[in-house]
Amino acid sequence: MSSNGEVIAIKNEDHFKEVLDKNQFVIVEFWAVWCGPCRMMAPVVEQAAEFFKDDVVFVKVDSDTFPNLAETYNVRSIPTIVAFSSGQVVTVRAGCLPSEALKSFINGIIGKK
Amino acid sequence: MAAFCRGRHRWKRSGCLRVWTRNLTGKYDYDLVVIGGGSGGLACSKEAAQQGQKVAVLDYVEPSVKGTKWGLGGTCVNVGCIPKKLMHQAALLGTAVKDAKKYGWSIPGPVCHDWATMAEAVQNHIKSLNWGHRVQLQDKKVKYLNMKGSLVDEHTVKGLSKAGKETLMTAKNIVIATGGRPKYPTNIPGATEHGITSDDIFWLKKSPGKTLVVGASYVALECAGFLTGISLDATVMVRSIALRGFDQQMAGLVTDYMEAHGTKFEWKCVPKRVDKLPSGALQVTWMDTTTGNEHNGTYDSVLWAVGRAPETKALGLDKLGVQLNKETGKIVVGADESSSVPNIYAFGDIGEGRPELTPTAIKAGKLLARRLAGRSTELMNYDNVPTTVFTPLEYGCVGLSEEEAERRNGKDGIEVYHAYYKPLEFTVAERDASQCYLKVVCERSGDQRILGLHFTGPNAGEVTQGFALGFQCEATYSHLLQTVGIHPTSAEELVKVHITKRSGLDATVTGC
Repeated sequence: MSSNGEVIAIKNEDHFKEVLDKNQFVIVEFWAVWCGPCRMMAPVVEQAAEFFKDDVVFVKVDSDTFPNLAETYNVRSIPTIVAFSSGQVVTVRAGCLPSEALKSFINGIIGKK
Repeated sequence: MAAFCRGRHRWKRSGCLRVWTRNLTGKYDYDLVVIGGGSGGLACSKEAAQQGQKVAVLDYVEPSVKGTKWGLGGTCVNVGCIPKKLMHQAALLGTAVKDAKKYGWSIPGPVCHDWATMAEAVQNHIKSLNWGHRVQLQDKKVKYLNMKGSLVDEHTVKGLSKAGKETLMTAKNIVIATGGRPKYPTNIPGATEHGITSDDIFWLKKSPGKTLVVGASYVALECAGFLTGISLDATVMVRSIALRGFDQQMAGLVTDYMEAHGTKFEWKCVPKRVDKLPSGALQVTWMDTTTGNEHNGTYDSVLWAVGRAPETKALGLDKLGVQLNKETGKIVVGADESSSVPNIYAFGDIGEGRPELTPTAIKAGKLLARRLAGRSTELMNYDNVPTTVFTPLEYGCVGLSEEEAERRNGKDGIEVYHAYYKPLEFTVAERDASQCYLKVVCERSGDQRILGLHFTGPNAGEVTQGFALGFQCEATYSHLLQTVGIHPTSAEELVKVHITKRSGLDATVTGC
C-alpha cells in the first residue's frame, strides 16, 4: 500500500473503485478546470502526496468528466476533498486547504499527530 | 425490475427500449417532465419540486453547425446573456483604461487585448455555472437527464442519450422549454460552411479577428460592439433598420454611438455569397440595395445574427397536434402557457409572442409550476418588462416605444419629456456624450401616467431596473417630479426631465 508520491488522475469509474479497493487511506480531490482555487491548491496537494507517500494514496477526479462520482459523494462545491479509509468515506472537506491545514487533516485521517 | 413496480404496472421491454406504461391506478413516473434545461426549464422544474412534485428535467445541446456545444443552463448561461455581458465588460474596461490616463493614471506602453485570456476566463465562469445548476437540481431533488427529449404521446416523453440509448418516461404534465437557436441564412452560398453564430463566438479559443456581423438585432449590435471595444475590426451589415421593435429614435442613438466609436456599418446591404480564399480569409460579396451595386470585402470571420428559430423540430409535436405558429414555428400558447394539447405546456423563447428574455422565462416557469401543483392560479404578467441592450452605449427601456405610444394614443394624446445629458465621468475623460439621452413618454392628460421610459448611457441596465418598479406601480410624471434625484448620477436626470418634445426647446441639460 503505497504510491510513488504523485497525485493519480482518475481515468474511469472502474479505476476509481480499484484505487479505493487496493489502498487503505485514499485522499480524493474533486476538482474542475474552471475552478480558480483548485489551481492554487494543486501544488499544496502535490506536496502532501509526496510527504505522505508511504501512508496515503492521492487521487484527483475531474468533476465535469465524472459528475456521477461527484454526485455519489455529494460534492457540491469545488474543490472538495473526500478522505477514504478502507474504501469508506471518513470525512468530506469542502474548500481550499493551505499546506499545514491539509497536513493536519490527513494526519487526523491516518491516526497520526 | 420488479422492485421498481408500484401497484400493478404493466411493462414490456423491446430491443433497447424500456417502456414504463401507466399502471392501472393511473400513476405516472413523474408529476412533471420538463424538456429543456435553460433559464425557464430549470426554474420551472426546481419550483415544481419545491411544491412537492416528482420532477425530471431533460437537457441536451445539439452541437452548433460548427460543432460548438455546452453544458446545463441553456442559452443565457452558455451562449447568451452571461458571456455577452462579460465580453461587453471586457470592452468597457478597454475604454476605461484609455480614460484612466486623463484621470492621472500612468499606463506605460500600448494597451492591447488578448482574446484567449478573456475567452478562457469567461468559459471557465460558464462552466462553474453549469456545475452550480447541476448541484441545485440535486439539492432540489429534480432528476436531471442529459438526453434529447421528444414527445411520444400526451403523457410520454422519450429521452435519447448521446450514446443513442432511448428511455421512456410518463408524466402527468409535460412542459416544453427548449428555447431557440440562431438561424443561418438559407439562400446565401457559403453561409453555413464559412460563417459562425452567437452559438460559437463565445466559445472560440482564438480571436475571430476582423469580423463581419450580419444582422441588426441586439445580438448583432452587442457582438459587433464588444468586438470593436476589444480592438477588433468589426462591421455590421444591416438589411433595413436596426433594433426592429425597439424605439427607433433610441436605436439611432445606439448605432450613431457605435459608428462614432469605430464600428463600421454597411446600411441597406444584403450579403450574396461567402467564399473562402486560399489565405483562409473569407470574401463576402454583398449588394447595396439602394444602388443595386455589388461590393466585396475580406474578413476573418462572418457572424450571422439574422434571427433565432425555435427548437421544435425534434420534439415530435406535429404528431400530437401541438399547434405551432405558421410564420415563426413557435408553439401557440394561452395566457397560462398551455398548448393546444391538454397537459402539454410551453413557455420561454419557444412560446409564440413571448419576450425572448431570461427573467420572463424564469418567472413564467415558476408561476406555471405553482399552478400545475395546484398551489396558485396566478398567471404571468408579460407587461411592463424592462430590458437593456448592452451595446457600447447601453440602452435601457421599460414600457412602450414613442411610436407605439403614439399609435395607441395619438400624437396629441402623449407628452414626451426628454433630455440630452452628459455623464459626469465623461467630462474629465473628454468623451463625447452626444448620444446620451433619455425620454419619458407619458399620457398627456391628468397626472400623465408614464407609458414608456428610455435611457441611453453608462450602466443603463442598472438605471432602468429601479425605474421599472415605478413603472410597475403605474407611476405618473407627477410622481417622477416628486422624486428627489441622487447627485451626482446620470439616473437623476430622469427625475429632473422637464423639456417636452412638443415645446421644441433645446433639450440639452446644462449645469446642476
